[in-house]
Amino acid sequence: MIDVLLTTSRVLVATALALTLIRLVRGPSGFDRLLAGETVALGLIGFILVQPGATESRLYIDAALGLALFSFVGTVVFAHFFKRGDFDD
Amino acid sequence: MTDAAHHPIALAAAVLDLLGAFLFLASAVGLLRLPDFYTRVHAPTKAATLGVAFFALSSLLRSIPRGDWVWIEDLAIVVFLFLTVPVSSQMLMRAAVICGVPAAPGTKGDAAPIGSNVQGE
Repeated sequence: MIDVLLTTSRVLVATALALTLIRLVRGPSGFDRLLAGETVALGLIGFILVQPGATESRLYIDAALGLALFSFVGTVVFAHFFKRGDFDD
Repeated sequence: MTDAAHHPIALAAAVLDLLGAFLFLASAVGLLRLPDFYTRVHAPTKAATLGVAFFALSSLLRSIPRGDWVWIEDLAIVVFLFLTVPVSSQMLMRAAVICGVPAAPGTKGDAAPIGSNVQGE
């Protein structure tokens, strides 16, 4: 029962990551791609945080913390840079 | 499995994990299906941060039978995301308004009228 729930959670988060990659590939404007990149980082954080329930291993939680830090810095830098230019593609 | 895996708290933690995973899937579907950029910003930045909060809550529940403090790390991730994701999404939205990313055809009102304070600095 618990194993089924945990496996379903991991499959759902992985599916969300795959759908986000579709938006990253075909986003009409560059801002859609930036948003999809930030969402990919969020999905990776979620995928890392959902693992310890099933595997009893907390090896990658530090990687999730680093992803949270650097996705914020990257998005802020890109948004600040494109605030004064044209960014169609 | 160990007997800690059959604790009732483990079942509650698994249900919380499933809830957070459902929020992640909802945010991805919203990112894929909503009509324009200004609506697409809302889906991942709200639903996915709440999903991460659910994952941290299940980690807290799971460390109750063990009696350890490893959930502090998950709490740190959640606090950092709650502080930074609204800021970054607002900066992204503001840059998109300034660059003139087109809105969906049915949008009412003007997000950035000429001369408003979103243009000037």
